[in-house]
Amino acid sequence: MPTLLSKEFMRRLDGISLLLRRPVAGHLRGQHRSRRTGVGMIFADYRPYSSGDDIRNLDWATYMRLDRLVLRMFEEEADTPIYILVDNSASMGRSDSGKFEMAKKFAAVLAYVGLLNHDRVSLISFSDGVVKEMPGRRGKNQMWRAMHFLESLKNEGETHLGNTFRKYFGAGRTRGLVFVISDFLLEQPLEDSFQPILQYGHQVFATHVIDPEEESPHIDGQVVLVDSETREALSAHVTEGTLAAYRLEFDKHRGKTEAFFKRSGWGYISLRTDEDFETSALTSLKKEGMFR
Amino acid sequence: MTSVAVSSPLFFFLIAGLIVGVILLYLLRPPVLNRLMPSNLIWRRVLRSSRVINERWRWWLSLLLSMLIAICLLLAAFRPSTGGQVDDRSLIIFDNAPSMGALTQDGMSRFNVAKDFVARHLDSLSKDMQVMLVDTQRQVTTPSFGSISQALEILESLSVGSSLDPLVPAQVATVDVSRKFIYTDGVMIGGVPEDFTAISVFEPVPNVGITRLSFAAVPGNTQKRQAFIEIVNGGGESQVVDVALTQTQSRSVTRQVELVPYEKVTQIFDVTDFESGPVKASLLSNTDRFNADDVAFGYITAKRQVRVGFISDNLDSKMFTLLGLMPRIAVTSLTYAEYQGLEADELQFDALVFDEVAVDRKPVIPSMMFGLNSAKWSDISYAPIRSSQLSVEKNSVHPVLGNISMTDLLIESGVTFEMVDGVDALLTSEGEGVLAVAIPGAVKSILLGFDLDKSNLAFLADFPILLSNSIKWLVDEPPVLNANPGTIKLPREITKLYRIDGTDVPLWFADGNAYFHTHETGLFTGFSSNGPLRVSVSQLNRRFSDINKSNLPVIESPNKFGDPVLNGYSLSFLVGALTLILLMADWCLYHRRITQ
Repeated sequence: MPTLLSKEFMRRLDGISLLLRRPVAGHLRGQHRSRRTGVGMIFADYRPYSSGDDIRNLDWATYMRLDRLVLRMFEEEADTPIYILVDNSASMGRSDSGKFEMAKKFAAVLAYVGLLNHDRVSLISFSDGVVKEMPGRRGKNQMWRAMHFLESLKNEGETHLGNTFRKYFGAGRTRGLVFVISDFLLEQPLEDSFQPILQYGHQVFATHVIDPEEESPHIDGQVVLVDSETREALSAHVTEGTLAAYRLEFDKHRGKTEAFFKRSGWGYISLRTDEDFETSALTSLKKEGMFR
Repeated sequence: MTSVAVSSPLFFFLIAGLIVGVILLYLLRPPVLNRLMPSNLIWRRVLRSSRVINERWRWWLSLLLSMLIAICLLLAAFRPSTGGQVDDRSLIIFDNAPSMGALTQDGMSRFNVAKDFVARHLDSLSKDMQVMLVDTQRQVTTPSFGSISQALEILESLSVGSSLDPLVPAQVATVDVSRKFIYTDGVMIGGVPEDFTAISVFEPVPNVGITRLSFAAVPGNTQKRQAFIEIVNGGGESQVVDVALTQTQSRSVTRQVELVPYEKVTQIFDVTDFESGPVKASLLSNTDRFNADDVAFGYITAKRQVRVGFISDNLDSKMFTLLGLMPRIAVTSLTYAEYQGLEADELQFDALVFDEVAVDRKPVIPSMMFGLNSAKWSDISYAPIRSSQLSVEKNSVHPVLGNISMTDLLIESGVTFEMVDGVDALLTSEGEGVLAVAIPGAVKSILLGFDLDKSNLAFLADFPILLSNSIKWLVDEPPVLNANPGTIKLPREITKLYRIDGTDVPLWFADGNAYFHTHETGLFTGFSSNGPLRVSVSQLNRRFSDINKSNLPVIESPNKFGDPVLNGYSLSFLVGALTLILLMADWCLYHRRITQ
């Protein structure tokens, strides 16, 4: 069995289901409300009977009173496509940071809950484009495949969300729930990067993985800062003042990232690698209203 | 026009050393820590915002430093000068004032210590260096830039001078060289100019000196004479000295005097026994380190006793009585016949006084003649006085009539003199002519055209003074000319000058005066048609003895003295050091710039 999630934690996840803020557009039956009417439990509307309609949905009481054939319509419960995009660029993969491990674990959580809820879960790793993909899978028995996929991921490349979204969602994906797990250290503006997602109307939930060392680095004096993605060398004389300015800038960057997602009506949580993953992940998701 | 001269190889070695040092520093720079970061996104923003200003300042600062380095290198390697003169020159002023003759604790004089320093200085210069060596006593009359060997020759020719004021040629002030040195004890040069590097040879030493020497008769007893000596202790320690006044071996007086630091005392010696003539004053001390002010020379001009021959046929002459009463005069009465019977070498008198006698031969010794009415031996012509009531005017500047009033003089009869060249009028009557004359020369004479019987001269209160003045003028030598060593001005009449040992001293004549030059103290005698002139050359000046009044630091010893070359090159070394600092700063900036 894959080791990304412990058995105890998976057992806790068994009782959790995804909460979606709007009806889904799945084609298969699932557990989420959809805009389509059909077989379901929740009454939606009446409409006149037309030939060929399922007579099991005729409202006999109305017919008896008004002598008109009226058909009862129900909201059809459908599945929802869940696209879990994991950033596997070089910036996520510093050996001692734990960002990538946390990202994979979080993706595993999402995938587990999604499969458990009979949603179609797709796993995508990306850097400057789609690096690896696990096409949509349904059913709990696909969990081992998802775990195997996640464990097989390696860090490489630069992050380019715009390219990734254009390439992946440009192929006409069903509108669904897009989880983006990344450190969001992007050269491109978020607005530009998420433009394809906005265009296709996906619902986005961003998970910002933060390394405390990245937030408040412990460096001093003359150093050459080497970018793990671009290998760009930046010589700097780091002083207390510089560090303070850095922390300020990092906070600003994180705030701008969160503000973007909130402004777009999307979900946003941040996970710190120095915190307990299981607690912080579940707490954040529940607080954001994603888990029930 | 500006030209440059290549500096000595030392500078090139310095510059080369700097360059090598900087390269080594660059190669040996500490390794910069490489730190792998997830992304430089945030860092770039932080550094960009903080670096915008820094980069601009760094760029300008780097440019400024580069320019300063270039200028410093130029200054260090090439020393620009104006006026077409190369900067490869050095000006050395050598102080050879009298105070430099003081001996140091090592037994060398300050002068010799300074000479040693300058010689070492010159030896250390590069061979192509041009040096101007100037002394403060103007012994180098026309200083100019020359080779080091020429400067060494000039240095050898210098000696301690005698002028108390520095005599530096004015052209030295206009010499435009970067390296100017002055080797001095700082006593007599005043201050050291700011652009000069002063090398001190000063060392405080004990010194006692004579600063004044004079002779005078005792007012109440003219036969007694006193000598006045002023002595100064110019050192910081108490001194006990023997003061000696010597004329001959048998005529000398000695006294021991104790002086506290910087004290000035005046000692009075009884020199009644001394004859007229030269006197030497000297100080004897075992600790004195400056001998030039220990000896002074004086001259007693007034004779102790004057032998006067009174020639008159009037045995009851009041003048004879008056002469006999004068303290320093020994008078002898002679009739004119007796005088006529004596040969010139038989006249054992210092002066003669003729009263109412016709002198028909020229006197061979100084004479005063009353009632002279004819003298064939003289060029002077005579004319009888026409009026019996004459108002007389006197020649007040002549020493014979000093402090005498002739207002009440009445003359009944006599003669007047026709003035000729070389004769001074003493008494003049308006409308009549000259009534009395003084004839200067080797044998002086005073001629009066009236006698005591035909005038009221003998009844005037000032008559004794007139007689005394006349005897003094006839017999005593003129006042001694006191002077300091150096160039001494004499009256034009002096044609010959001798030292006391009889050696001839060269004279030169200019501006209506005679001049001679001497570095040494001593007694000189000048001769003219008017008689001898005694010249006493002594260093009688308080400034001369104050050889410890200097603002310069004390040298510890000649061996501990720093190499003067360092002083000479100090500016270039300073510029070199500045260049090094600037290079380091620029390297730091450069290093940071290329790695960011």
